Amino acid sequence: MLFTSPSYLLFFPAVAVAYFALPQRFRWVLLLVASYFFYASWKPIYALLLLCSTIVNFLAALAMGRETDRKLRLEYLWLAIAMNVALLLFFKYFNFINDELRSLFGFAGFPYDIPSLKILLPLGISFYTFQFLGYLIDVYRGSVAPERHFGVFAVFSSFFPQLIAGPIARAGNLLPQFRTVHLLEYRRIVDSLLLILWGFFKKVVIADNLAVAVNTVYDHPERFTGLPLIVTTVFFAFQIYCDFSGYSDIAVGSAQVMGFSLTDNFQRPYAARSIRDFWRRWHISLSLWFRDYIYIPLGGNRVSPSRRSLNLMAVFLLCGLWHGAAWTFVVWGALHGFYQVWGVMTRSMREQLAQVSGLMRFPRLLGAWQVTCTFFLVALAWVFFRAATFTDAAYIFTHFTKGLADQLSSFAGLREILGNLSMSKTLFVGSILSIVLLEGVQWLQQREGVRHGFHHMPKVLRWSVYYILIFAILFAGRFESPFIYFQF
Amino acid sequence: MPARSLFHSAVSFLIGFGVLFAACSAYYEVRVIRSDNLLKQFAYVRQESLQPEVVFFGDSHPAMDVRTDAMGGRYFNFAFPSFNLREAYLKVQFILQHKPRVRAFVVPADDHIFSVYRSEDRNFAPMLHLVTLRDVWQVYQFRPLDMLTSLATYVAPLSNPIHRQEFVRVLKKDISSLFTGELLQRDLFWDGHCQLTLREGKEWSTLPEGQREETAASRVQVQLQDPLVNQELVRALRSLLALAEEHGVAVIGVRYPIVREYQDRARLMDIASVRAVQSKLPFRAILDYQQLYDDRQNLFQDEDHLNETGAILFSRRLARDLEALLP
Repeated sequence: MLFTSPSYLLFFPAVAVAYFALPQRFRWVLLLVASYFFYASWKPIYALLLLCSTIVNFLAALAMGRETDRKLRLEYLWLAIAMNVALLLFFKYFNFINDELRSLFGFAGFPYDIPSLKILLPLGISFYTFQFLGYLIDVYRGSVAPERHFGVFAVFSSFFPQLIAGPIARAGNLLPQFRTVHLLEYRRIVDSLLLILWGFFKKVVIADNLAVAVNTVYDHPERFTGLPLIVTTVFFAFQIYCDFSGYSDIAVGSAQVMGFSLTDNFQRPYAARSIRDFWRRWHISLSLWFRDYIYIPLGGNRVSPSRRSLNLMAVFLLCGLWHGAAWTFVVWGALHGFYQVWGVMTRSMREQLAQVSGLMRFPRLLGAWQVTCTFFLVALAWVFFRAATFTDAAYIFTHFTKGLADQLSSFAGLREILGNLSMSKTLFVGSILSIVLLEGVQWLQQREGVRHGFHHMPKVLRWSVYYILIFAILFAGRFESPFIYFQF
Repeated sequence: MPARSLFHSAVSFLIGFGVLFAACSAYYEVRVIRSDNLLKQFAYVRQESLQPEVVFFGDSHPAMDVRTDAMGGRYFNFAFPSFNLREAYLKVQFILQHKPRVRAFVVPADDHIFSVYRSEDRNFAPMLHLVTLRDVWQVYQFRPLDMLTSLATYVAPLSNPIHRQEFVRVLKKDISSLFTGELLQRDLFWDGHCQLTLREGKEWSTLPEGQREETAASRVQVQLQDPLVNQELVRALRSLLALAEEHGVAVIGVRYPIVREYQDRARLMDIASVRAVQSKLPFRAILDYQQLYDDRQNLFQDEDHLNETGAILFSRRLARDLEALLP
């Protein structure tokens, strides 16, 4: 059941109405049933896997909570981590590792006959595994008490708005909310519905229309050179952002309708002034997870510069691998790791350069330059994320500028090239305008708070905006493709 | 109190939305639905004076390849692009009820007729313009959501994304015609003989070789994707054959001509499983024309449809063969 499918449009209001109609003591039951129904609508058997994981993690946390011996607690923790990681490895990485081993053995001339498994990746396994791991570590550290009510814990593990693709929830934040009495608040509900609407718009109008051109080029990059590669790489940067942040908005909005507050996953990432800043704004729940459970335990910023670089690389390699079982994702992660290390190493030099060049005196110009450079680096890294193979990515990198001068020299030629992107003129112009609109709205939101400003607008104006959004979704949206992050 | 004000706001908002949606629907009704090809075909078939002996069913293959104006008055082409065997069954039922002179049905025996490409389309809204919901009930194993979306499409076509795309296309054309004076014309339209015709003629053999290969490959990929044999569609064809037999009407299967590149690609798929199913069904005969124009590729407009010249030639040939089978 996709958030953008008609089934969700029936399912969610029904759950929300039932939620407020029920007394507090029964609400967790409703959420549990709804969440498992939502998850089982893809493949019922994987709901069983989620249930088994939930039981094991519930018991492991209880055992840790009862144990006073630190060594034994640590053993429980490692055991539970091993179980979670083993499941993730098996479902997500078995075929990848197996294929690599087969190539390696074949290269060395040894026989290797372990066949690949025909298994479907359980939806959301990367997300809920990380949520479990976070919970276990928090319980071990004592920052969160183990949940003693299995039902509540099961809802925490399967809460439908964020089960499939996050935001990855922290037990300390989400668990207590299942015990809080949420009232029907007019303003909160209107705000949440607006957020859901905006999420829909980002996904089906912006992301899925940009996907038309991106898929045309990235499915057969060898047919293109120069401008189409550049245009679709920029388009992909916005496609993946609108796709994932659109999902997150619908997730956060859906939870918020019922009174739950989830972590905001994005804060205008393409306005970041450095890669470090980018990761504070992009997929925030995952960045924080890596920071709190991997980077800081490895020593964080309190270690030698060389060790810090090594830690950063390790974290980003893991981050890349978390996204997908393919070398392209590993390289994408490594590239971001490298950007970070390079950023740390050259920080003082860059600051001096800005001082010497006089850019420091023009902070807006400096800011624009930094934003542009960061976007350029991020967009380049997205090539690895989107390309189907290394060969495709290498081709794209080596053909970005090929024939570009000729393509830009004639307007008719330019039109023909853009015509090859499978987009009509209207769609192409519309896509660019929608990106401008997106950035404009986000800029306003950051400055003044669009949602806050909305409440002070006359009703006619407010409702006109809602209607325009709804009709844009209905008439300019595409409803075929699932969310990109569902594959992770 | 918040619940009441929320309810009031929601109702007012929905009324506003309903009014705007109704306005769009009215425009769509006037500009698109009233000139819809399928509805015109249904209106045509309802005429008492139309009493064919041989009726063609199926998708775009018969709809585009068979020109009954080149075959004679006893033939009627009831095929329509994208139609599947469930819909063919309902059309057969309608013909048996309203056209007593009918003697034979011609249904497609192409390799994609049972495939997921056809089985996935469970929208029965178009058929509600011809038959009743009860008739549809017999053929479609209703899933609640399919039923809801189909009924919604029937009542409010713009609830369906395909219709909304068409709405946008027509609206854009209408707006541009305000400036250019150019009127909107359908690419695919009924000609004077109730025959679907493409406004702009195309010729497959003029395409570069690479493009032909690629187009054929992607078409095969779409049409012959697994599973190639959907049991629900096999059941629909079995029911169709049984119904025809009950009324003493012969059923002939036809494999329509396709280009060489398509055939080469199709051989890589499991078409044997489709043929095996077809061979066990009680057809009067299966006429295989897939390779008929292997040496005359200029008769195709694309990888699996004949152009106008090809369709006329093919229809004459088909008429000859059918006359031999149905004297």
